[in-house]
Amino acid sequence: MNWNTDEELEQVLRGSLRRSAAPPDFAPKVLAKTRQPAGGSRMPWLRRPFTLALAAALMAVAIIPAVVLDHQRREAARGLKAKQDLLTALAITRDQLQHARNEVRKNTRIIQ
Amino acid sequence: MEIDFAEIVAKNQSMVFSLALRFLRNREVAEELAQDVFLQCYRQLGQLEDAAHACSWLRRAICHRSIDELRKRRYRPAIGLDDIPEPAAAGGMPDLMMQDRLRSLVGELPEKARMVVVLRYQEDLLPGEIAELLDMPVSTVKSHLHRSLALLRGRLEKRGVTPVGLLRCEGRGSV
Repeated sequence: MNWNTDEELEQVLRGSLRRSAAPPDFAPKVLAKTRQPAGGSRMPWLRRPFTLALAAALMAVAIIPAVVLDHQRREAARGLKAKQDLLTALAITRDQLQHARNEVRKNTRIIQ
Repeated sequence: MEIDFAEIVAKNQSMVFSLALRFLRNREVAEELAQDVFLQCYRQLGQLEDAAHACSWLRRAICHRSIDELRKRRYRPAIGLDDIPEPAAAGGMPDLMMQDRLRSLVGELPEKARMVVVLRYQEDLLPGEIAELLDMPVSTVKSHLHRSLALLRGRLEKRGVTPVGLLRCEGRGSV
């Protein structure tokens, strides 16, 4: 047997979706909350968007410069190492050129 | 006109709680949200004209808060379609579980369609009233209803759930 009409399904939906009773202590809980002084919840200001935004901004102010400084320090260290590597490479090249020049001079004297 | 808040809570607690429960399918969250809405109502009591106004205010508030809550928490239904066991026989199963299955299927509908279906069949509201409540055109409400019924019928038939089983267990009360 299939669902022939929307009415059948609608009837079943009405039955399935009918209201449920609220928990027995629902109304007392609500009424008790209304008797609490305004803002009675613990530190409600902590949940306010402005407070959260301010906290986020302060964290950003504290964290971003530290991250930027650390990045700059790392870059400077990398630059220094690159400079030292380059000087070493130039010294090696100079020595090799010197050696080659000496060899050329020596061979020239022998030929003459 | 003086409004008795305790009376408003007593008269509307079932409506507010059930709308949240059917929509969110989570008892604890539904209760928490319903209490929040009543507290919000209490704070705005001075702006409400009478009990009927309070009732419509509560209905609107719980609908919109439930949709917001769903988006915020990105709820998934407690019972997914894959978790639902196939029926033992092709014939109807006179079982209250069947009604829960149907509620689960309603819980699988997209949020707007789900709210439209709950308002239509729990609260017995007309499409025009639902449209006003959810700030959408009447044609959209009708379209949601039409498509939701087709989807539900298809899924029920696919799972071998027939009208016999569901109609038989009607009237036995629901959870």
